[in-house]
Amino acid sequence: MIFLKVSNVFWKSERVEVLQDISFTLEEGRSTIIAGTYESGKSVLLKVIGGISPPDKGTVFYYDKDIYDSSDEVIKGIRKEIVFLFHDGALLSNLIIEENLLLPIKYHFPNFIYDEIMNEINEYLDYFGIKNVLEKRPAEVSEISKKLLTFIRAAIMHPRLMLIDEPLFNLDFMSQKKVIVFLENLKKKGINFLIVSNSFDVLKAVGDRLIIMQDGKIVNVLNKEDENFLEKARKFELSDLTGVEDEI
Amino acid sequence: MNIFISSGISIRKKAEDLFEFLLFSVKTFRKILTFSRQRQIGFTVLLRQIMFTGYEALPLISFIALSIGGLIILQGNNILGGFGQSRLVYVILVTVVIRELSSIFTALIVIARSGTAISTELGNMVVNNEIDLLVSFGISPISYLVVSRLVGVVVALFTLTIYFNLVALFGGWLFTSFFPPSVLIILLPSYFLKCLLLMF
Repeated sequence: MIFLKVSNVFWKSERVEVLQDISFTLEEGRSTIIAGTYESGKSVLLKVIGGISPPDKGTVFYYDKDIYDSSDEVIKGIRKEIVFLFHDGALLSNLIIEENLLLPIKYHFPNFIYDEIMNEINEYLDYFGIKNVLEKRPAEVSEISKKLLTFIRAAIMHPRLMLIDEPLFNLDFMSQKKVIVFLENLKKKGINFLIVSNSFDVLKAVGDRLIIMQDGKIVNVLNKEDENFLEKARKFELSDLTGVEDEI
Repeated sequence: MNIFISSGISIRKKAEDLFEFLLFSVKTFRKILTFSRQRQIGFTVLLRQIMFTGYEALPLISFIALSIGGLIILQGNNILGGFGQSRLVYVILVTVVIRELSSIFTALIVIARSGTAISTELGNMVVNNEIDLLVSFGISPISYLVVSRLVGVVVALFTLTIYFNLVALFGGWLFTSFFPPSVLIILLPSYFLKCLLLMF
């Protein structure tokens, strides 16, 4: 079942056409990876879908609701189901980590049970091996921890769709492994993903479809059902995306 | 011709900025009305703003108010005493400090101290994607960041002005008490009462 529809989206920055006529849909239970060259408009597309950057032309529909042209209440409802994870792990600098993690919960679920949520947060903190950070401010926490904390903040929302910009950016090898397993587990729980990443490991773990972008356009789409999906995707990663012709 | 073109562009830019500012103000005032809907997250920011702008500015305000109150009494007493009109010093203190200077000084201190801090903080938030983050949560940045700060600063300003007045009066009493201390301690309540009566 289609739950998100992007139709003829154009987005312009100053004089550069960053997105040109982008259209695709997302289906329930099928996670999509967007890959592409640098400056191909992947992250901008994610922001447009996440309701952060309105398109110059075109529409983004979540079920039958336009995410830019609906009432405040409807948009609030959409935001509850779609969470966005920035590549640099954005946390509000004037709040401590605990307040940061609870902020979207407090806003969308004012009657939440504090102990229940804190148990969930502590479980995730244990999983990622992050200790004694809840009372600290973001400036006192390492970049890796900041990034991992944003995964926790998103997971406790139990969203329907997670939009993730470069999930492995800024992470060390061990944390990357943990994040990939974390995403796999969330996918099993029924969360859909739209991930901007050029990582083959992310695609292998959660990707059901690969969208390739170049110069603000979708140039290719590969589906899991396609013959030799991973081999083709691997080839894209090595040749079209990196410019290297032969396998290393 | 070039002068006309460049002045035209400059005027248009200024008009656009003014229009943008007016639009922003309207949005902010509209959000003030609905601020209570976001009280579960906005209330903490509001309290922190009052704490920063109000409570943390108390030492600076106290020092300036004490000095102003004391100096007016001291100088007024010296000058007016020569004419045998020392009692007019209360009138000057009330008219100059309480009615005029207290609000101006408090506002200047708040602008210099909190205004710059708020601008820097918001600028950093833009650079660090924090504003986009709020939008992605569905939280209105105007309501969460602007309204809470605006209300916080107004509450702090109002309270600080009253505090400034009281400390300035106390400063006046403190300075005069250097001359005949024992008598003025007894007269302190009537001194405050006199000043307060003159205020209205």
